[in-house]
Amino acid sequence: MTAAISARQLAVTFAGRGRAAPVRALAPLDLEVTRGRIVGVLGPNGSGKTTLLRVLAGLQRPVAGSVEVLGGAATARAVQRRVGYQPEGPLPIGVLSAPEYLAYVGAELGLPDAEADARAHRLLTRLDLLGAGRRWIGTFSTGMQKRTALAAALLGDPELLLLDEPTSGLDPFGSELVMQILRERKAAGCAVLMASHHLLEVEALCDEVLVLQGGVLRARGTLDELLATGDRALVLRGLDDRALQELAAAARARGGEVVGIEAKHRHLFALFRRLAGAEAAGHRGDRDGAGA
Amino acid sequence: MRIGGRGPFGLVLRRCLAAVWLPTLLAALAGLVLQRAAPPQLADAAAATAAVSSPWLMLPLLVAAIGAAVTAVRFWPPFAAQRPGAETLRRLQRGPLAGNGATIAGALTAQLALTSLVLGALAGSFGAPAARAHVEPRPAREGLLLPGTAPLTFTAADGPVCRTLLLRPHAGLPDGPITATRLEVRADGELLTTAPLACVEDRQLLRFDFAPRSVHELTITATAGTVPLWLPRGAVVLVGDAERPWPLNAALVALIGLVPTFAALALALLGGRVAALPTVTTVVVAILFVSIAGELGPLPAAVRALLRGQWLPASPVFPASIPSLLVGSLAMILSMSWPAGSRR
Amino acid sequence: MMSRVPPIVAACAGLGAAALVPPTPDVGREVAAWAARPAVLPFAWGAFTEARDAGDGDEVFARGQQILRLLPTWTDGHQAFACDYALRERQPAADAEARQLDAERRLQVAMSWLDAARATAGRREIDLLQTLVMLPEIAARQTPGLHERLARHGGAERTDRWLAEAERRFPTAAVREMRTFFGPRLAANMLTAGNRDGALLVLDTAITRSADVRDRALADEWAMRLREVVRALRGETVDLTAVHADPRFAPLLPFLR
Repeated sequence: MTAAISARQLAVTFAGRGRAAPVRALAPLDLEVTRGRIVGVLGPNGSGKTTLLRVLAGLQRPVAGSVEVLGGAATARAVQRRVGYQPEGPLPIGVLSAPEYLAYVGAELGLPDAEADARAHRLLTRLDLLGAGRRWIGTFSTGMQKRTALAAALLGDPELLLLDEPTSGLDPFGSELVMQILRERKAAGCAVLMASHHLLEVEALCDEVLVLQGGVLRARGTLDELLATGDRALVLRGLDDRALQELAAAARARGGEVVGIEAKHRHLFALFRRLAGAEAAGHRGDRDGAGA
Repeated sequence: MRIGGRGPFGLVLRRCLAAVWLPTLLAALAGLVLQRAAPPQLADAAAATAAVSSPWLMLPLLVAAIGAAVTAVRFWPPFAAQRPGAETLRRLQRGPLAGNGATIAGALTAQLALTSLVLGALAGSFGAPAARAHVEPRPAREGLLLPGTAPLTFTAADGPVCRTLLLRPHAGLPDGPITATRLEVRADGELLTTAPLACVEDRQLLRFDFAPRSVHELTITATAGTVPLWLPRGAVVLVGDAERPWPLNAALVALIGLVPTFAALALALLGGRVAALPTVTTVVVAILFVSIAGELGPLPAAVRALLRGQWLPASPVFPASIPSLLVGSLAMILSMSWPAGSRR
Repeated sequence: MMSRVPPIVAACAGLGAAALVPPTPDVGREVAAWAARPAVLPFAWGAFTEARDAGDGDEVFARGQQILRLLPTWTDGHQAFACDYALRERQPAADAEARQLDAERRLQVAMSWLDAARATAGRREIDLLQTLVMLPEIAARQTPGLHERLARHGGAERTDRWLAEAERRFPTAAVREMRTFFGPRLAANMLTAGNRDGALLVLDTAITRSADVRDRALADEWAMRLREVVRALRGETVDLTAVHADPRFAPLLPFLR
């Protein structure tokens, strides 16, 4: 299987304003993303995540190195049509409704009108945007804009998705929906490269992670590789404190170290889902039923 | 769900029409009211030419032009630097103009539709006369006209059928007491009028009608008087006999009205490489205001030609549009060759 | 709390302004003209000069009116545009009658414009009144036959009323001198129209006003000549040698033989 993204010694430098020194946005890095995998790009603000995505989307020319996307140049129009790109920030042309915006994107991707409309309808339904009707996308909430942008990125049925902060500003249901869609795209053979600050989502979703800092690749690998520490934990349920103390003493007697005994908390999202999920799921079910 | 006009052209066209039709209509109504409310204080109102109504007709044209241009600039992110989403569009759009040309075409089409309607509706009610070709015959030689000097000869190519002659001679200082210089005008050797033609003031308009006839050569002779007259280019104008359809004349004016908007939008596209939206919008409004209200562009001359009954294809208004067209085209070429977004 | 202060100040200022200058339609028009003037005037002036180059006389006049609507107190402009309109011939007329008719029409239009402009002229109204007095004379000298035509249509009586109005509004020595020195011309015009009583009344007024002429020697001589003319017109036998020799009485000579 050919790599969806193949970059060698890719480097980006921005000229400094006036007499200021040039700014290194990306130090030379190698990157390979195969189809059917989700790769997360982590890093603090200004670490080069967006620059990397822009280079791969064909919007930024590297000063050094080579990059191949879906077997062609990232700037080639034929390649760009096969790549779904969701940039960070608001949508362009805020005075269009979501269907109008997707119709425009479909036309520019060269989709036949009927097919573009059918795909747009499916995506708007799936992303819970049909209720917005003829409202201008400029008036949408951040979450709705994000979902619209994702719909636009998915409209061309891309083989590669480049997503810049796809879940920022989304409520937990929205994030879950996006992650679910990305898993489906992965299962369909699509490669996904996503930059995110949401570590938990990256952990839950990505097969591989790159960590950038100051434009330099600090770490890369699968989650298992990166998160492995050599420690193993024993999770117990149903014992009282006294029984736990006895077990700890036995562990020490065998040469082990007891780091601590503490109650394991439930994941916050699980709590959120338990408290609010039933009602919201009911609403969504109603809307999906109406839209279908 | 069918979405018509999916590309930038259709989107901008629809957006401009939706945003500008009401302001244009209100401006047209205001122009109509102002024209009616402030007529010239002439004893015979009909004597005033319709051309004095040009400010009131210009008002809706100015509103439509500014409205369409500003709507397009605000609609399409590449018109200004650092607009969110500009990169998305740049990536989606194809061709050397990257959708910018289609956007400008959409705005211009919206303006054309609105101004054609306005001109069609208002020009008649402002008393625009029937359109006739105004032809400037070429002088065989330049010289002063005085009794005793050789007559001046003017030739009209193709010998158009005419019915009116307009003379606006420049007058010099007389050598002695002032006596109006009397003129005799012959067309192809035949006397055009027996009515007295006398001129004593500089750029005094002499106008007379004659039986429609083909004119190849005009001969003007000074028969009496002391005021030397000089007839430079444009001082002799023949008015054709054939009436031309004034709605077509109005549509041509609307077409000429697109030239300043094209230049303004092209310059905005260029300026938008470095300037933010408020700056670009201000520049567009200023360019249109100065070129339309300030008469630097071709539109005011075209409007007056329409209201004076001049058939535009035969007038010098079209050549006057060329500088604005060149400026706009140059700006478009420069903006095409200046790639946007080369740095963050 | 602070955000409420500017609207309150603005409201107070508005009320104060409304109390000082009640918002009548005239005030509204003046404010609108004041606001529009800087933006519109350069373009109005450009259209005016363009009309002079390419338009006809009526268009030039109407363009001038557009400018003066923006500058209603510009009396020099009113005078210049009105005189230009009245004195500039539009078309070569077919005959003398048509030429007089057109000249009279233009004069009437220009004078009605000047009369209307008096309302906003303020202290410079006197300039407009003087133009109203002088313009028919200048026009009559330019167009042969217009003099008699104006006289028949009450032109002299109108001019006398303008003079009286000027004297009433601006009772200065200069205006009174104007009224006395204009007497012979006005009287001649009235006599042309057969209004002998009116002519005598005008000459009597001129004699009275001659007392206000600042040059006393000139005043005495002028009053003496006027009295000789009046006596001659009343049929008395008078030695008119000095009157005949004085070019200021030339208009009256045809009626003194």
